[in-house]
Amino acid sequence: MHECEDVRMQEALPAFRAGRLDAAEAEAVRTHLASCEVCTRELELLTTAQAVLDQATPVVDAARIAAAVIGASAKAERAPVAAPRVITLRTRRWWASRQLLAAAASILVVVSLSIPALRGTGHAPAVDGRLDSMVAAEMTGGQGGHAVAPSIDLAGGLADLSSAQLETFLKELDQVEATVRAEPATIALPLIDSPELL
Amino acid sequence: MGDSSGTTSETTDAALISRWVSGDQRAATALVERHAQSVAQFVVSLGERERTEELVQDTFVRAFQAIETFRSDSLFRTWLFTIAKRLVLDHRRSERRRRDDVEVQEDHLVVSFDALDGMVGDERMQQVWRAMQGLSPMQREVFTLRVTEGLPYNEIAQMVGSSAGACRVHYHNALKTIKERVTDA
Ligand SMILES: [Zn+2]
Repeated sequence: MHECEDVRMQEALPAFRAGRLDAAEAEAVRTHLASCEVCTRELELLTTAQAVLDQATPVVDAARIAAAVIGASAKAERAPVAAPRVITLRTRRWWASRQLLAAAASILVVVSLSIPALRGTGHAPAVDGRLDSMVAAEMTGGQGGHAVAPSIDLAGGLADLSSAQLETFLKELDQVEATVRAEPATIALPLIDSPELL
Repeated sequence: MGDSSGTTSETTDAALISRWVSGDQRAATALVERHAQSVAQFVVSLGERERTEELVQDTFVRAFQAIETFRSDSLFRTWLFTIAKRLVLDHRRSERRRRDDVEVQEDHLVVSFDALDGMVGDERMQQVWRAMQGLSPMQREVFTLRVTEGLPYNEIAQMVGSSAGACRVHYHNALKTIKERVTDA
């Protein structure tokens, strides 16, 4: 048997067969198949392998499995466990669009009013910890995916910040906002990476 | 197997997961119906045909209990596969401890695959099946993931704990072996 000279097309065969290619890529593969016997045979072999695996696999009872999943979940909910830390785009957006803007606006007001009165103008440490804790608060949206307003504790705290800290703080808020807006609209999934399960 | 990308279907996996997290039980049912048979196939390719349904169920129970650890940068189905594989390996480990038999893993594969002789369709399909039996466990896993899901090598590599380059070699060696053992392939 001859070799196929278009490695890219040959490598695309499994994804083509599994329906993973977009329309243009799939069309390119189809065009290639029309003139490549090697790939046509290989695709046929892949299709046979899939059929073999289909036959070899017992049909599982999805309804029964779903019931078991729901039952196990209900049981777990009765047990006193900490609420999972879930972040969803909905949460992020909600926070970004309402809370963050509101908070940023109020900070700006407070800053403009209180900068002359601020103590300490030196090189105080950065305020990352503060922002981190805000982001963390946002992440604890709870299992329901409902956003929990970030606990931005500005009472008393703001006056303790130097103007440099405030600038950093506001800049970071801007960055958070920019990041959130850059999120692809389709993603609405838990994003927390926990090493515990796997 | 139908669409596995979770993106082209009417309701995406992501949307279903969100609904489940919000307390919608029907979303869990829909996700199980969408992926259970593919997980079963993966479990069979690992040589666990006898306990397929039990393992598929355990996989989903674990997955849904830890749904918050699912990362959106991977496919839900491949995440399920990863959990299924972990369960299979855990099971074998405990079997091995119980039986004090270091060869149990290979035994399992051989027994399960032999048991399929005569079950599988026509002559050509049987040839392919037997050829797949002749693959190493790693070759078979990589080949199955590539054929059934059409996954790119880098995603397969993450799942099997290897490199993309090594997976490419495993896949092509598997394909070569099968071609050699199947007439007219
Ligand atoms: Zn070709």
